[in-house]
Amino acid sequence: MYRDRKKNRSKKIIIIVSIFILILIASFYSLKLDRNVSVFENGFKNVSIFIQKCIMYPFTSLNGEKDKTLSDSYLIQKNINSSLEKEIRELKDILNLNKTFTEYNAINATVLSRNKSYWFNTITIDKGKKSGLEKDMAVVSSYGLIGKITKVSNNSSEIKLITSDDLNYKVSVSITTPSGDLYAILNGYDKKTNTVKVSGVDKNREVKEGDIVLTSGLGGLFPRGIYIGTVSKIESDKYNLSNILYIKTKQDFSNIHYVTVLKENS
Amino acid sequence: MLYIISILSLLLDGILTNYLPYLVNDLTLFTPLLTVVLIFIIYPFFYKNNKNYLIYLFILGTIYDLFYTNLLFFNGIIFTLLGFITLSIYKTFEITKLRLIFYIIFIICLYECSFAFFIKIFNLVPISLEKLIYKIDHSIILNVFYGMIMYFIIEKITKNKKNSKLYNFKSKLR
Repeated sequence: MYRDRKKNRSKKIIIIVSIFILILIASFYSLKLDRNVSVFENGFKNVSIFIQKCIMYPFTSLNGEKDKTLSDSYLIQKNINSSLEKEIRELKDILNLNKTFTEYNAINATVLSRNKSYWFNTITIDKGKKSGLEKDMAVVSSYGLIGKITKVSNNSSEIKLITSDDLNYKVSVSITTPSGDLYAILNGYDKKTNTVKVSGVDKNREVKEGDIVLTSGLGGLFPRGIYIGTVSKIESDKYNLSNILYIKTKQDFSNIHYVTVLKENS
Repeated sequence: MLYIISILSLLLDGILTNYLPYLVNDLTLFTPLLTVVLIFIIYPFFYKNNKNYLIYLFILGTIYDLFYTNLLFFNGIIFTLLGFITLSIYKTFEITKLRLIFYIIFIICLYECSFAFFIKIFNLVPISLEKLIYKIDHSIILNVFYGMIMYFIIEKITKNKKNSKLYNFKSKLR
């Protein structure tokens, strides 16, 4: 009798532990940020995106700002200025940069849903593999860089915003100062001041409030020269070794409805 | 009726997040978690059919994932775990209109805490208690309001239709 009870108890413990391990494994799989979209997910996503598009249609079609935003955005993406284009070509030759803004096609997309997992700072757009989108492509709005693509299915993509505190998500930026460009890492978002943070800035270099911050093109993730914002506050880090810059962006990250994906010309 | 309520909540969840501030610093005080509220509200439809209730929650959570979060099965798992807690609440306590408010708040807190717990143990995003509380307190008003309305609707419809299962279930509770 006692043995049976003991056996049952150990059985229960084994079942509970197994369930707990299974939950952990499943959670690890679903939370893996660089996970590829499975066939099942892809199929279902096609249906869900179609439904969401139908539901959102009355709202998006009534938005009078759509055309205005897209045309502004187009100007920024292309960055076409005949006098600058020559200069860019020359600089490209000198620096051997093979990725500049003009080498990218612009694909406009509509935001379908803000991702409901608040912690990840992501949004979903209505363009995917079928429109030629791929993972890690840069995403901009009429106000500059907003993020990159992290997951792609046939008809939708997930964009991680630059406001994300994700530990694996860093963007290399260059700060345009009177004494030349300065490179640093953009990481994180300051809730109190509504600014994005740039850390690891050399203390010996002079940076002023109002200096422009652009993507540096280093690391190969983002094209060089996409506008991010301007320096609004400068602070020393807690060890007084480097500076932390607070960058004011023009983009209201809570109010993004249309975005543009920069696709590299093949 | 169950399916209509589920679909309505799922769709409203999506539409509202597009038009209310949802990201980072300025969460609205009316942050929707309508599908999460359903976990508690829909149990009377499954009275004495706990297995079906838990399966339904898993499917609902997975659909929620596929529609909105891109975290396949993650909400499916959390919804099911919250389903177990809901079952024990229904077994142990009486459901009155006033208590319903506290149970909905309790489910929202549990949902946010378990979500944060999993993110924390896999070290994906830095999470602070301050942020977690901020997220929870901004999710209460709308969801409690929605939960109460849904509860009254379910109560009324089931009474009108004389849904015997729900009717007996409630009279037993009272």
